[in-house]
Amino acid sequence: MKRSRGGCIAWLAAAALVAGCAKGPPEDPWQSWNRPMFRVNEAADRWVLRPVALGWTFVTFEEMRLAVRRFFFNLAFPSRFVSSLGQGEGQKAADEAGRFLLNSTVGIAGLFDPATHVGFPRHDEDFGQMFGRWGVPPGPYLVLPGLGPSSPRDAVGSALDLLTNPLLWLDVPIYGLGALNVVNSRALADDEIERARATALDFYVFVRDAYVQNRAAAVADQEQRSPARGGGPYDDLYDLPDDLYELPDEE
Amino acid sequence: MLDRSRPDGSRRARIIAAASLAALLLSATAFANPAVAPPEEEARRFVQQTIDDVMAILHDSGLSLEEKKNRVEDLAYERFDFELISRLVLARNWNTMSEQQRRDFVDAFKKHLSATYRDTLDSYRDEKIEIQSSRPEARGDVTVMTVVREGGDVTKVDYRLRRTDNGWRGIDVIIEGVSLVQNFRSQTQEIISAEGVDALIQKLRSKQIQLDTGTRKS
Repeated sequence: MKRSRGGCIAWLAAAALVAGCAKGPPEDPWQSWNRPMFRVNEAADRWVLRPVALGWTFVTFEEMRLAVRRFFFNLAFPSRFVSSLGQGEGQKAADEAGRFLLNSTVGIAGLFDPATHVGFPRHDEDFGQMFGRWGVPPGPYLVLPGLGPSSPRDAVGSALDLLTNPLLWLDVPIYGLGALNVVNSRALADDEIERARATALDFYVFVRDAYVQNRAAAVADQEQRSPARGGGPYDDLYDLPDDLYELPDEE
Repeated sequence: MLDRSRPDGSRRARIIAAASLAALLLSATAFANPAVAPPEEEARRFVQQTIDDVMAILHDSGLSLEEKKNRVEDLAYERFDFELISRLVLARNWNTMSEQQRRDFVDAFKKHLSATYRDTLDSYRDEKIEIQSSRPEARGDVTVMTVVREGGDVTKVDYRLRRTDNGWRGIDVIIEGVSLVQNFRSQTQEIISAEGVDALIQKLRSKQIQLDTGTRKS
């Protein structure tokens, strides 16, 4: 536990150091750190994580993998509960508490999800979103080694998500369980990830843009379901270039 | 009993009068409707129709997967405005491109997107799609918000629609807050500024080939 916290801070410090001397485009000022890190993560995925995940897929049924995912998702309840409360979302916190009680008992330690069927909706809140709701900007896009897309705000949020996970407080083989969670999640996401790789013209930019857009939408939650809301950075996304965008030399 | 069910002369007259008045009112609203029908309502109907059409194709047990893919592709070509989407994606770069480059891009991009969505149909398994709400946008656009449910998983998918000369057309798909137009704009911008427009078109075409062979293998 101490070690992961220390590791996280060290990475952030390293990123800040690199950022000091890196100059990228405004949407990605830390690109000279991010691109190489992304390549490292991609290589790790290609040569280690994905092969292991495909092996896991081979020896399990999909229903098992889904149950494992539900088990870990259920355990991560404190992060969703506390961050809902932190955003003043009492109803969401109550839903999450109800889900946790029901799914941990009737749902056999979270392997099943009876709560959804009796009307407790799931709320994917986390500490990064809570900070966002408080008005903390995400900061520059940041690729974390081994962890993937993030931002300074969300990196701190993810660290809190991790620290509030009961697995860390219990006397369990934490590394083994952590590895199981990672491999299982990667196995379940394989179709989507491979399709994204096939579709993307520049997979690094695809992931960066999807991450940044998705996090902004998650923070705005209910109020905003599309980037086209007035006043936002996407205000003129749907203008045709010939009537509103001008060529640089015409400006 | 019998008498009550058979109206006498005056009752019949009153009923006819009332009915014709109702018919008049109805036809008046029917005539007035196209003018006052809220565009949001039209856009929602357009999306619902498209969902129904896609579902009818997917659940047609007389069709092979390949035929289903072809029909969904045709439907997508009809319901989305790919030239408009291309222009929105390219934004200011559109202006710097030649007529030929524009045509090549629209063509390659259209094929690229449809190849991707063909592949998506491989993993379709009875997801339910429902319209949740809608919202008027700038320039007369409408965003129709839907959710896709599969088991306990819920995915938010929004459609941005614009009324074109050919009627309502989809101009963007926003999945969990991620706009396709914005995402491809970021990517194309990066490639154009590093390598130029021709390299971008080349890249689109080579991706297309990869996707095709991927489909054939599976």
